[in-house]
Amino acid sequence: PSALKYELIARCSTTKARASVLRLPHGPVETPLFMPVATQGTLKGLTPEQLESVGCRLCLNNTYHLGLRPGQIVLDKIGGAHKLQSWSHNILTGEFQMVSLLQLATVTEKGVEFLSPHDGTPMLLTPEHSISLQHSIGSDIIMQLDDVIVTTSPDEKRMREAMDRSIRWLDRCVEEHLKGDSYAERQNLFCIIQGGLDLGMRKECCEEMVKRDTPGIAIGGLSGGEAKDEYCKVVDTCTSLLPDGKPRYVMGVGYPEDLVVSIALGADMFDCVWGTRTARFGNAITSSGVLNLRNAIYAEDFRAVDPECQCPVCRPLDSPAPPLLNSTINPPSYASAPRGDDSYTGRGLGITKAYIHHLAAKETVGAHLLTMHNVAFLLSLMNKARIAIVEDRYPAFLREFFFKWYSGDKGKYPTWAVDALRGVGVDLLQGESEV
Amino acid sequence: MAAAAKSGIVFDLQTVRSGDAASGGNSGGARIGRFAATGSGVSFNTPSFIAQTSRGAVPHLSGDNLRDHTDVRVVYVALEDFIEKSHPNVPVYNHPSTLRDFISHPSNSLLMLAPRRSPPVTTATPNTDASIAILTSVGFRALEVDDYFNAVSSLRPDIAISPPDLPHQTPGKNRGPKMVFRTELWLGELVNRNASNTPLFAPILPLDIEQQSYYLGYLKEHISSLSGLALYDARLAVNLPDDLKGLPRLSLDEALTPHKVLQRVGWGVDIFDLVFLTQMTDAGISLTFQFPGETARKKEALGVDLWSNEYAASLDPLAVGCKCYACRKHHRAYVQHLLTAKEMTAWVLLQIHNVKIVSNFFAAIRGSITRGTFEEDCKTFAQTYKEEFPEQTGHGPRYHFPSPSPRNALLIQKRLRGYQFKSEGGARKKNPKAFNKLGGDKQEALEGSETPPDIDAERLEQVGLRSY
Ligand SMILES: [Zn+2]
Ligand SMILES: [Zn+2]
Repeated sequence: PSALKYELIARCSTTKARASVLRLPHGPVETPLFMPVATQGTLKGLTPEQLESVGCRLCLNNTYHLGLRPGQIVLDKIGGAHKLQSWSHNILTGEFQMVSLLQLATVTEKGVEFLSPHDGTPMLLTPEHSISLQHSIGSDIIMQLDDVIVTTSPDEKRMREAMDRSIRWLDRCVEEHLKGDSYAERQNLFCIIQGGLDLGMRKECCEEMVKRDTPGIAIGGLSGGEAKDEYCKVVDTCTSLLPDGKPRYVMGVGYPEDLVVSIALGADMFDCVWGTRTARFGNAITSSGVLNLRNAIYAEDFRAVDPECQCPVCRPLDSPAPPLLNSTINPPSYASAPRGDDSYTGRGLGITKAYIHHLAAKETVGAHLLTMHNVAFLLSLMNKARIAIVEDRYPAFLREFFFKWYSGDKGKYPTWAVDALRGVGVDLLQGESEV
Repeated sequence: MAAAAKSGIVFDLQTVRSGDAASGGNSGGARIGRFAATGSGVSFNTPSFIAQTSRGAVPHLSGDNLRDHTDVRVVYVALEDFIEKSHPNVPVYNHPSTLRDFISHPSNSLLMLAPRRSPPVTTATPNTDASIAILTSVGFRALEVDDYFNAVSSLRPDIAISPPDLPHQTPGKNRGPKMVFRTELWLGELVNRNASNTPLFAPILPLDIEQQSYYLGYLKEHISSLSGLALYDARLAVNLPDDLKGLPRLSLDEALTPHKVLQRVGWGVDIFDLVFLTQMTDAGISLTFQFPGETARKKEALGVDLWSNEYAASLDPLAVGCKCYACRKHHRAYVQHLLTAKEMTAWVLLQIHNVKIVSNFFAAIRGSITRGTFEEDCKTFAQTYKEEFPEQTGHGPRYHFPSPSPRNALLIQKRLRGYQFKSEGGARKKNPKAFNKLGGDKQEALEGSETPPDIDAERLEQVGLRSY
């Protein structure tokens, strides 16, 4: 059973990049898609409408955090996470980065055992419990509980155990999900491919999990300390084995270079806290790279954070909101507010680098503004990639992206990216530069 | 009625309810006025309020939220928030345009510039004839009054307050006359050098009216150069000379509760600096009072402490009947969740809501004065609501920008000077010291109830779940 519809819209004639519309219970989204992470039911100081204003229609919540606070009882009373945070669009939940839990947790066949951070008593998180929590949360996409090992672990036996166990846990998750109140008609369970950097194990895991026929498929365990070329091999291997008609979600990836390369390797969906976390360090993601606006060189830079950006932060003060990033997605909730109401306008703010520099690390408003811009940048980057795929000029898009990102210095292009893209028929170093 | 037209600012005094016993004087009495800035087209009715800023931003409100979701029509900006560096290197001075452009201030509200924050943090050194002691984010220093005058000309705020000479302690016998002397001297200078024709507010010192009678005479003589008065002791509104009554009166002394605001409205104050607004927001308290309210058997609270677990599943708005964005779209349970999760959005929603409560409060006050029921309504309000705000139980927002090393975190912490910076004698509770030992040992992290939000979330990932 599935509560989503995956419509393939276009395919790059050179790379493995795809563009699609993914119809979910709370409205359609378009892929390639970046999903901002609102861990505890909010995106670091932004109101839901500010998040909508930059085109987000699918964000992440974390099952752990919501399970702890406000807790399952309150979630049931309120009626789930959409109601908790007044978010009328889609939510994806999962137990992200179990890797980091492992120092203090023991994994057994039953589940993941933790010591309570409060009183030290042992707690157990089982696949069944994880699904039950995600039912209470009511997220549109739910993730299986998996056994994750850092990809760089040399322990091949443990890696295989984790992979096999993740498959067994998927079966338990599916069983739990199919029980009871027709959850599977409202929520989509995604499996998570494990297997570390061992391509054979990844292949095996893909085959097993594809058999379980979940509505979507995630590639997990990456974004750790692994070498980028190894990362690319895993993504490339998995996407080649996965069915065409389902979305492919690479977990924990959100650095612009990683995103555009992963799209070329056939991935559709991504999430990462990097963009919003780095905003709180004063870092702005721009088409010419990441700028640390706390640096004194920006104290008198009276230009927009990214002059090319169309987000409210970067557009001139009071300039009207541009049309939606893409026409498929639902309009923002504030668009239907009655006239004269004090509702959100999405009009421009005309913020300069100098003003962010002035606020950075001193006023939270500075972090709010940069968070909004960074999310906008990543969503807009995905949208541009999508348009390039639809117009079948993704290789040119890649060349243009890298050229700008490295200010035209091809010598700085990372080898892993050049190699990975060569593998799908794009030579970043050849051909005319687009800028 | 009396109307004073000045460059840029028109104040039209429409109604004065004077002579009532509560005002205790001749020229006291609640007033209704209309304050309009001719250039920008921003206008509002008085009594009303201004919002304090920190480094040009109303705490918690990015410009879009301020513009779209609040009725704030004047913000107060302190020059000391912008001048860490020595003169030629001050970015705001080198900005090709105005202060408004530098902070990208929304066009629907006015900028009022003053040398210091309100209330100001006590400085280590005293003022001199030519300088004011200030505090910037990097420490204490002196601001030459000349530099302030130049800043008024170049930054072109909508309103500038002429610098008052305010000592740290209650002035002694000799200090009073010196305060008056300097304040008059500086105002005279500013009037003469006001090349940009910026509308000026003259300070009224926190001294007896007799002690500054010559200065008040000076103000009368120069009334055509003035657009308003900034009162550092609101009681003086009652005794101001009749000749000055056409000027709008901004009160910069701390009206710590709505009851005190009402009292000051009765004294004839037109515009309020509401310190309690951001204070209550930071405390996690949702304001719930209305004017005049309906007397019940038991006195109602002025606000609700949303830290309380009681609201964990409450789908009620932050205040019953409130139509602000936060109340239309969200509920107490969400704000309660965000507060306990130490998520910044909690304070964003609270600030939007609390500003709305205060706007409604002033609108109701104006209606009441117009109807002629103000005194009666004040009695009802006093019977309806408790004297004080609820006790603060939770912890205020903290700056928690993650830092790569604990050493840097400490450095940043030290240099921080957010709006929460405690002023001497201020009513604000000091935030308990935040846990910021990022690389610290786990046990300590778990015990630290003051864990900054991000670290809190990240710690949770590392240490696992409590219980379901
Ligand atoms: Zn932007
Ligand atoms: Zn409200």
